[in-house]
Amino acid sequence: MNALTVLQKRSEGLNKKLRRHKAAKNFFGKASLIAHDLRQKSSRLLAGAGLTGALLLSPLTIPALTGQTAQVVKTESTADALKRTLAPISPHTPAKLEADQAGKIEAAILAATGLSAKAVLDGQTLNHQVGYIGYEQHLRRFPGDTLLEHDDEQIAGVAPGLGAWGYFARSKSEFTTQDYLREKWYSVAQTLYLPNWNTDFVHLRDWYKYRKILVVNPANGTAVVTVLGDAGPAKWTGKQFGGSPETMKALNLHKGPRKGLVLFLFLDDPENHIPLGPVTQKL
Amino acid sequence: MSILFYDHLVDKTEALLFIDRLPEPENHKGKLKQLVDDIIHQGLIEYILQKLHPHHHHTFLSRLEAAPYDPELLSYLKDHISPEFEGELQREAVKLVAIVKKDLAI
Repeated sequence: MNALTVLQKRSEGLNKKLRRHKAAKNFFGKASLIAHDLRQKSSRLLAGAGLTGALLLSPLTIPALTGQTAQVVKTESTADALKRTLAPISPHTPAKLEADQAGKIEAAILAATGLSAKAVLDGQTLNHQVGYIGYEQHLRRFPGDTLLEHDDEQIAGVAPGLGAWGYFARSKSEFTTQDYLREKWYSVAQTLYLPNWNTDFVHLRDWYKYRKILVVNPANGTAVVTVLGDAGPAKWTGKQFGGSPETMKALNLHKGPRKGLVLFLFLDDPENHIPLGPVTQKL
Repeated sequence: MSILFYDHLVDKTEALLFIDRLPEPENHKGKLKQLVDDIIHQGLIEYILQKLHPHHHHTFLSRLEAAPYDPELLSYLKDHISPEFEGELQREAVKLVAIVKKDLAI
């Protein structure tokens, strides 16, 4: 048995033991209390308070050892690595990437973030992987949802209609943390203009619904893991993608024209391990 | 300051260095490190819930969810379990790291 299998079994065993406690069962069901998610949340909270340094943001980074002496090695931030490697190879106009171009960009993203981003996944591909993203409004998450119940970027307002997949939850009582995170970190792509959208609608709708997307701003190296939460924007807008208010803020595209050129790639995450939100460290 | 409130009690350097030196792809190593982190985390939370009266479980987990770095979480545990609980938690962390090292055949 290899190390991965052994550790996975160990983790599953501990999780089972943990869930024997009633409160833990409830918590691990409704909220994400796994170490990785808590670390990301903690880093964000501390960063917001101005308390994090490079080491705090890299909890799994360990000092390199020279003989018996540990030395702290100053590492490049994820954003700096993305900016340095992507800016020279990313087209600066909306484009569908050629295979070799996509390969280089995917490799640069993997090296900087540890994320497997793909221009083509399961045979599916969007009409653009590079394009202009626009600032979207909040989406209604359940019947009766109001702007005041959204905890950030209320300045964006709420879209008058529903997202392409309808409400995120059927009712407020069924609204989960997963639904909350999906609306907070949603993105929008022009699935409606896919050449086979109308002929293969049922399959494509299910495949694209909440599909994980990595959005990268190559100009500053910021990256956000999102889910597809809506279809659009219309062609006449001159934009190819949309981002939730929080996504656009994380990409630093929430001011001025509230628009910018981004890379927009599928994330290969069949087991749903990659948390939504800004990518601040290598996974 | 720790990212998770108990980080200063856990030394998993040896296990992480071992993983770093494995002839595996980077994403595979990342998964292994994440599993190590998760095993220790789940083990420590389970240990805390064993020691903490069930009446306080919800409060503790709510506070953990809201501010995972908060050093006051340890104070809360010391108040409701024992003033020596920090040392007990550190000993449990040592045991968990030993289990992980055994699983990794270090």
